[in-house]
Amino acid sequence: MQINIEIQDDISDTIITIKCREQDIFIERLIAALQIIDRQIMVRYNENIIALNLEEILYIESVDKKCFIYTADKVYESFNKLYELQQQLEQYLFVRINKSCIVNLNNISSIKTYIDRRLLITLSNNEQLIASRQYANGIKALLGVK
Amino acid sequence: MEEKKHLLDYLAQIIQIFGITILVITVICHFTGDEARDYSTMFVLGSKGIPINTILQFLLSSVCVTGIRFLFFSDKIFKKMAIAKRTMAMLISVIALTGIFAYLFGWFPVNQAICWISFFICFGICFIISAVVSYLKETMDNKQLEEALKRLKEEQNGSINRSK
Repeated sequence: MQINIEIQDDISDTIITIKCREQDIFIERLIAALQIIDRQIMVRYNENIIALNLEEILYIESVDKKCFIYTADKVYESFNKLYELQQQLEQYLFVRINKSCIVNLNNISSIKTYIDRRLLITLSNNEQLIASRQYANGIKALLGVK
Repeated sequence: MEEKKHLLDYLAQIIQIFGITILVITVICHFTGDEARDYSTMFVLGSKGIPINTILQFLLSSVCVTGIRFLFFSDKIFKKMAIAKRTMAMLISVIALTGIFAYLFGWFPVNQAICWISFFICFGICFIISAVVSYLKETMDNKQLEEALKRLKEEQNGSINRSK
């Protein structure tokens, strides 16, 4: 892969052009990574591929090896695996709360202690998720609570 | 690794319950041991101390109480149960267990109403104290979590504005 960078003083926004023989999985991943830097993620919705703003995401769930992204009113399918999304999104306050779920902390309305040292997470749409004991300590550490 | 951690958690909980029980009974024994000598196997030595048999019985009851707690307060068996129902079920189970142990080990004469009344008073006081302590701790923890979440969001929003 060859990377060319042209610095021009007269352009207002950065333009990235990808020249390729075909839009294969590698190109898809490259686009996905670039979109995340731009606080967007490529998702599939009704057979269409669209860019979803990260701030709209409530949580991401892995079901039967597929990753679904939940917003207040829609469910999208992701091209990435849950662990990949975890790595890419952790800088934007997305945090793993159990084996199958990542939550956008920006869209949490409250966190409370729950039975068996777990955490009860209430999202901005009042949906509730439970952080397992295994991940609860990590969340507390991220929040700066012992 | 996680299973090992769970096992250690349960052991810690058993030791906690056992330690508190022994401490409470030791205090009771010190003050009323001589008078209760004829009524309870727990105080056969009077105010001199608790017999080894009783200590082992308390250890067994601590293991059972921890087991009951595990039964109702982890989602391993009862997946969807309200916290109030879990607490009530645990309370009833612990009372039943104590009754069985009292009968089996002669902790107190189970055919005397006054003994049961005393038991319920003691149990009630301990339950209220532990419920109040748990409530205060939970409120404090929740407040801490809320504040930390708010702070983290503010920091994140601050860094976004700076980078724009």
